[in-house]
Amino acid sequence: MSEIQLIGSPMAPEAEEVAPALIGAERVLQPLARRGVFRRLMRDWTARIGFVLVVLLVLAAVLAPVLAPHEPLALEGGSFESPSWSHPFGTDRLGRDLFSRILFGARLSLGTAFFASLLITFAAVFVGSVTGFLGGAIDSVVMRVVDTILAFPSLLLAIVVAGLFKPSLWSLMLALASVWWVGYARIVRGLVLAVRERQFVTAARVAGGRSSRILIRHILPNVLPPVIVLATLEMGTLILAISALSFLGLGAQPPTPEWGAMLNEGKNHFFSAPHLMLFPGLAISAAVLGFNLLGDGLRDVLDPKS
Amino acid sequence: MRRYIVRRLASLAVVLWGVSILAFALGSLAPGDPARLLMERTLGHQATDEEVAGMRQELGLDRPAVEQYVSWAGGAVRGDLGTSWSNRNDQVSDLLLERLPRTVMLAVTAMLTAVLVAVPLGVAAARRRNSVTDHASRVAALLGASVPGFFVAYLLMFVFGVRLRLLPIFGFNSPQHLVLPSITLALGSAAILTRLTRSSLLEVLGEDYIRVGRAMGLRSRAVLFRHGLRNAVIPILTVIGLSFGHLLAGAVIVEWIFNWPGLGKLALDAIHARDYPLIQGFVLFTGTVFVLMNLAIDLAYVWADPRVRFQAQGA
Repeated sequence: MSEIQLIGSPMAPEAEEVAPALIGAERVLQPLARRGVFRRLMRDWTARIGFVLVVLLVLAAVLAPVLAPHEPLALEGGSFESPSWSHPFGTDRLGRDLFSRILFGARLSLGTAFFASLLITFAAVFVGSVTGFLGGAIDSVVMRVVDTILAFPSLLLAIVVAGLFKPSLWSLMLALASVWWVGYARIVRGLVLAVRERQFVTAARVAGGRSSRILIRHILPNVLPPVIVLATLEMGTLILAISALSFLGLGAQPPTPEWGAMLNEGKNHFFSAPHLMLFPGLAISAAVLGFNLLGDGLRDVLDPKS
Repeated sequence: MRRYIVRRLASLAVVLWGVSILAFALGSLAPGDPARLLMERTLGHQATDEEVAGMRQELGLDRPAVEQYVSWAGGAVRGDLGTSWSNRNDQVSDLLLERLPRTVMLAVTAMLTAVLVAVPLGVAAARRRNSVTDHASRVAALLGASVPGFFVAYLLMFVFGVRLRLLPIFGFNSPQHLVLPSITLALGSAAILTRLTRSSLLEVLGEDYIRVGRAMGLRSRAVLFRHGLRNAVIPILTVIGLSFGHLLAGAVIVEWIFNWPGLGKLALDAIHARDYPLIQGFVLFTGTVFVLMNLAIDLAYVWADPRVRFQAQGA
């Protein structure tokens, strides 16, 4: 068994016909954790760059209070100071230290993206597995809802939904999740449909297992790993969407040091103080690039065709 | 083929119905009381409960939701999407139709830019695999997909508008005004197209008939363009069609930055002003456009690729 089978066709250990109940989550998740994946990933120079960028981002987020030379909200310097030793990225209109704000911004971007993708994964796994497993009327109704939402480009719909609420990072996260889950749900449903027909599921059913138990013990463990991989691949896209909505004024509000919101604040002083936009913009670019590079590398390693 | 089209049209009707419900729901499920909002906006001060109740009756918001939906959707079928709450009470449908051509102009220019950059770059990369060109195109594509358009927009403005003074920054009065917005908008699509052109051309170049062509002594240029690119073109066309949807979505942000008075700016202004009829109209309108465009792409695909055509016949 190799990692390759994780994507597309769920795993089928030879032992399954003999002892279906023994196939548990550990056995299926194991291949992902194998050292081989990471080593093969690091062979590619672009994936290495991505890995370094993501590690730096996580470090910035975790160590922000230690690394930041100033408080992100403190009005300490003069207005619009250019980069200097005491303020490496300069200061903004109110004299706040831009470098510190960007470090704390890493927490918000990463945190929001992470929670959004948790929400998305939960919603998708719940809806996708229930509809795929039960089939019938529920399935067709929910799938029409999914089709409808998929008819729109996700970002466009997220903008409209976020605009309905009082703008904040929370409403932004809910708006993103409410749109993004549909694509995942369809994938989960497809995987469940495929796993449902496998012999170990039939065996469990013949053995008298209840539906809920079959779904949780036998089907979900085969469905989760590819979905988790997908959620990881999409972190870059989510970070981009979060900063885009905040930039449009539909997410984090001043004085929150969120990168998109900082760009929005900076745009009014763009001609006189371009550093106000340059550094948050570079931060977003680096974060998205890091996750995209890592994701591309991961896809290559896990893709059966490569 | 005919059966395939009929089936597609049937599912199209269902999705369009769904789109209309979604559009309606987005406007009516919004938190807050739209009647109070509108009344206080027209009055300019706090409204009394009677005034709000009067406005609610006038807007028909006191009727059951289903009844409201039916009358709204009935109007929409006849092209009447109600009146906008901002924009001097203009008809929503008039506003949308007035702004549409400007967004289409922007999207088409962006798409042309993307194709003109991406296809030659992708071909060059596939032709000399693992060469400097190949790596450079990969890096360019990765940057194009990662650097946010709303950041690039300001970089472009700064360099070409402020420093070099070559191009105008805001507005839409001349063809020069189109340059920076369409470059910004083109970036993402160009990045995807470059990679796709490269990979689909590489796949075709690995086919037996290419090797036969080479063995028979055809010049490599002829093999590349006549036999290679021509067969790689179908997936490229599909992605071009699909990314039009994303271009129209990206246009929301780009139009807002460059103050380009298209559909996207209209929608964002409506969102910021909580102009629900306009938001509903926009969602219904763009949803319908996207659904129809996807249908057109699917049909074009069936028409262009004999292999898909046979599958569709069988189904």
